[in-house]
Amino acid sequence: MISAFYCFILSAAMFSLGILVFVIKKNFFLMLIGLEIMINSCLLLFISSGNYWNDALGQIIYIFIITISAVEVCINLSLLFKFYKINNTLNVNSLSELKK
Amino acid sequence: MKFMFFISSFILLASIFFIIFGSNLLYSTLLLIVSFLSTSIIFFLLGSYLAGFLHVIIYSGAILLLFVFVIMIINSSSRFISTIDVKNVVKICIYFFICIVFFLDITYPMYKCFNGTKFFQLVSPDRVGIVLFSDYFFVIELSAVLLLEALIITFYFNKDYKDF
Repeated sequence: MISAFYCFILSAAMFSLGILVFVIKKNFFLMLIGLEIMINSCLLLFISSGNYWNDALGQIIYIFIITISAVEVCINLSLLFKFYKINNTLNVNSLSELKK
Repeated sequence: MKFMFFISSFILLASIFFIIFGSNLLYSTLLLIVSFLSTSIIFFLLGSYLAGFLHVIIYSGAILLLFVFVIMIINSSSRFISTIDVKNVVKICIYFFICIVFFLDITYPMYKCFNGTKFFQLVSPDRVGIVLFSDYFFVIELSAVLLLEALIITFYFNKDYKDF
């Protein structure tokens, strides 16, 4: 049987790697990928906690977070389109030129 | 069961490492799909079948397909990510040290609380549905309103006023 401790370690490692992807990469698209990894680790933590205490609330919060993630992806990808249309690149170092 | 858990965890973490050191947007997206599929395997192993199915259908089937469509539309096949050079390696080492400290800071109290004394129990989809549509019906309505807001915001972001 799987212990709860393994799942918590796995979610913490995923969150750390997601932060690493978000901070290191200068690409808008890869920053979104890092954000998705972080959200995924939170989902794993909620599911494992809910199953650990035999509570259905973990999966309900999972459904709510997955909706928020879909909303976030929609808005961020539309922002990415606008960004790419203006700058013709996905490098976030040119983000200060978004106002033009 | 434990062996499957470790195998899928290894695939998950390895795919995220390959995302960090990769140099192509499309490969990174495909590796993200692999990591999400391995996460859904972990959900199945933990006994939450509804979350596992939703993870495959919504994340890997809808959201990441949107990512792939975006890559195709912006046509950035020639614009690869810059590969990691010496400056970035130093930066990665510093950030990884910070992440390891963060990791230990989180997991040490968990290790004291959850030292493998209790195991996971099955939470069936029936029970989730009953609780969701009785006590937490507000969550469904709020999710629907959020999705509608996302539709409106996306429309106004990409609306070109010169065409109207």
